[in-house]
Amino acid sequence: MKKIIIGPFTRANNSCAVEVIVENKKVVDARCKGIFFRGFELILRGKDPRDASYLAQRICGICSSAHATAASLALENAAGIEPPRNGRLLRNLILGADFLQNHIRHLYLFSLVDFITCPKIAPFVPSYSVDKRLPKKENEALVNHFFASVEIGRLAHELVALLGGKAPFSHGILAGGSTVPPSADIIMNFKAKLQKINDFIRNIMVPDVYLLAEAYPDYYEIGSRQPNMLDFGVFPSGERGRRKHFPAGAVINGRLQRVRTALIKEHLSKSWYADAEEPQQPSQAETIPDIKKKGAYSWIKAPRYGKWAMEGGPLARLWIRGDYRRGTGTMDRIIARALEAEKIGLLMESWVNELEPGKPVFTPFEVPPEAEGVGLTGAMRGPLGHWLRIEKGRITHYQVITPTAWNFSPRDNHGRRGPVEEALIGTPVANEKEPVEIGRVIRAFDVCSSCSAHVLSAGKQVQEMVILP
Amino acid sequence: MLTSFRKLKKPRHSGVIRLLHWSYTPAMFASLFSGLYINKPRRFLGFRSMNSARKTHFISQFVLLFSFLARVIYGLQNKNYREILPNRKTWKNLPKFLKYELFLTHKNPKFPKYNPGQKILFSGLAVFTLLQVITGLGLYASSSWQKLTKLAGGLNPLRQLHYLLALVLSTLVSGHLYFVFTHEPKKLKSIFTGYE
Amino acid sequence: MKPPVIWLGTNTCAGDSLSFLNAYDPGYQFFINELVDFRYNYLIGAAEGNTSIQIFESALTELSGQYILIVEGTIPTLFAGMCSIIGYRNGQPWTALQAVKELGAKARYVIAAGTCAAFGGPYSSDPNPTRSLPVHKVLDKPVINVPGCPINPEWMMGTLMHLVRYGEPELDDYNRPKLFYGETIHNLCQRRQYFDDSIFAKKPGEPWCMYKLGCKGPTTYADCPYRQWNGEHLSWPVKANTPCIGCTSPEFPDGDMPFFSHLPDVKLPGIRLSANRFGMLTAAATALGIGAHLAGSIVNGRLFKTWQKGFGTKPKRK
Repeated sequence: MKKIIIGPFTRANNSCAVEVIVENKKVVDARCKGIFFRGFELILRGKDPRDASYLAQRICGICSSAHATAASLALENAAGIEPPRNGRLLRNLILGADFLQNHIRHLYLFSLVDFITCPKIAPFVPSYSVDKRLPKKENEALVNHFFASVEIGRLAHELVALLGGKAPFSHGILAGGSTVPPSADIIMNFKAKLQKINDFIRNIMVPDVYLLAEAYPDYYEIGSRQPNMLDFGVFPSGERGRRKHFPAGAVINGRLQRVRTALIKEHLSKSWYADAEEPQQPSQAETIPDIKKKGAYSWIKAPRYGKWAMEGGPLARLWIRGDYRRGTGTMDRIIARALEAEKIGLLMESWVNELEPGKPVFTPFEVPPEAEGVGLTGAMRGPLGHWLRIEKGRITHYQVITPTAWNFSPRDNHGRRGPVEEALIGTPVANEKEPVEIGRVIRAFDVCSSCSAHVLSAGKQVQEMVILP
Repeated sequence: MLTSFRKLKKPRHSGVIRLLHWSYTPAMFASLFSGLYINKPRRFLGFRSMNSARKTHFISQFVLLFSFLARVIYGLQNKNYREILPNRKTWKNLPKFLKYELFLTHKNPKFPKYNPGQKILFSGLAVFTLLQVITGLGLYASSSWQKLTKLAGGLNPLRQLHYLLALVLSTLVSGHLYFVFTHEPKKLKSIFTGYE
Repeated sequence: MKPPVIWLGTNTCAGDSLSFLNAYDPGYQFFINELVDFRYNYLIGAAEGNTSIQIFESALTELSGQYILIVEGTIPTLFAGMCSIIGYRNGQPWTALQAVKELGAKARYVIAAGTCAAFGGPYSSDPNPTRSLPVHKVLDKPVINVPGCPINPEWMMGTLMHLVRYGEPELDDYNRPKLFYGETIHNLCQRRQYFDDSIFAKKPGEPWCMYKLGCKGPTTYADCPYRQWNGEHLSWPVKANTPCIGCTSPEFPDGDMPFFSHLPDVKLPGIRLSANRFGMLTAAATALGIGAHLAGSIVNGRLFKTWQKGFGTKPKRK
């Protein structure tokens, strides 16, 4: 029996750490450690509610548009307004472009490096050299695609900038709609760039993941867990944005259900926060950091849906849609991410065509002096929620539950593991000095430590809601 | 005949003081209204464009700055500052003065040239005008006065400080205006003619 | 020999590393092949766990005094720095506070990438829950600040290029390279004429001057209007019809919020007011005070007496 700590666990959006126990060359236990704490919700208190969509983006560099979306939805919900149709389409396009950026960069810059032999130049050396199975020619092609992906990832950020001024942290997603009126030249430029990205996804990215799957078929099994998944739905569609292109849903043991936010509880027993008497709803949770707490090992709390540890991300969304239900292994997660990118790319082509030049993009509104709002969306890594309360025209309460809090959560009060911890059990480790297998399993979840490094603050209960699938 | 009288008595306000007073008064008002326009552009403040407001602010700030400096130098040279700056007596007399101004007594106490209220108000104007000129210069020449920006914690905090100082100054000026029109018109006359 | 670079991520959102990947002509490939020896980056380096720690160890010994340390993120000091752990060194957590101090002491140059590392930024915003500090408050040596939320890749690439080819660039009082932070956004803005002519946007999405929407261009030093963002200089916030929020400033974000108001809120004990409302209240209070005194003077008959005296008598001969 041997304990291995991987820390820093790099090639994740900000590092995290993981501790595994290996016995007979297999993982028998795992602990995911969030090693950052920030308290972002405390920072948002007292601020102008309109600022949240810009400031909350700073929670995460790679999924900033998702935070902007959730923050905008929360304020729109509080103010009782809706963006005009153009505004909603533009926001879909910005968020969609950021999804493409995330998925492309994640696959090539973060995940792929575990599977291929990289050039012998920093920052690719030093690194592990075990279990690289691709033949020389294919390997070389993938290295080339690695560098091509840097260009394509940049191109995806250019789409964000075209409609939002800059990326990361675009200014184009805010309560009320969006800000760049669609005109022929912008639409044309956007389409041309999108075309290049879609070509890359269709002709290179998707074939590449199947090439990997062929070379590493055992990874369909490695990293699998019970299909318990969650998403709040993303990309509103229809005249009033009630329906979502990727619908909300909870999957429990593979079966799809409606999402009931009242079932979401936060457990604290293994997190560095003072214990609550029993698991609480996120909106009620009182959080006091306590680094000396016995048995705790992470800054991330353990959100649970009822008693289930839920996984979020492309696989969950495709499962809910019914597009992909092969399994829940590492390869399934990687394939689902590429397929989702392809799907979003195509949807974006249709959204661009629906834009109407000359029609409004922004609905002016007054910030209500007293109100509450909730903004739920699917983000790159899974379900994302922002909860907001306004008093005297300023934020008095703000909460964020991020996808990585779900995926990378520690054990709950009953000792049940988080999704990544579950997935790691049974993972073979051939060489304890170079435990490459562990990185492959975790990275397929697209862990984002920046997002999870936060604290929920005390407050009253937010409204209960049921999201239709 | 009148001139001969004047030679006999020292005027309440010397020519230089009156000249400078009437130089920085319009500059102060021009700065205030153009400044309010720059803070939040609204037509009723008397400007049609940011450009004209900015130019007005630019010119008036220099008129204000130089007449203010000249006034300070004059005040120091003639020991005139002794009449203005509050001293121990001022604070001792303050309750008596306040009692009268708050209508608690009918007894109108007699003071030297300026009463405690005036002394505090004028000194306040001097101090806050100085601060306002400094913050203003910090905003105007922010790249060469970056140390000042640093002291204020950034350029936008400096801008807020400038705004808050403007509020203080306009409050003091309002007080001054109210008192000159309601207390002893002969003293009001003296800032024009020099004599009570 | 290419100078070695260690790019450390402390309490960060990774936005600066991601933005740096958007570098265009030269891009990432040129950067690692030609410009520097990119030993470590927490986001895109291949090393993990012990392999990463090895890189730090070799920097502290073999490369001492040679490498450029780039720090991205704030450095928390709460719980002795345990709110940000770089990794596990000899089985013990190595905090960002320790790492920046140790690696910083032996670096040839230290660069703070992004507003968090340079000035504190969003994560040390009021009430600063993790008691975070910017890099220059942790180290005893000069730090070149390259702020921005995130950094524009060209600001970083240009600063590095200057260091490698021409030595330390000219810095302002905030240790920012004047090359990129030498003029205000306002003075460089394409919409400056609209400002001068008082043609203002009333809501986001309108193609005029953003001043009335709280644009912080007048108080922000950066070359965004010229340089613009992403790829072939596509756009920037004002071009996207939104206000500049002042993300390169030392006061960002507290001193620049509300983003859609001209001035920060006035914070008094127990209450928080927008600056303009505070101004109105001050004016109202002044008017009230004067009005009350005036009423008193009238009721009292004092005002009547004063006016009756008029402009006084002729001066008396002494």
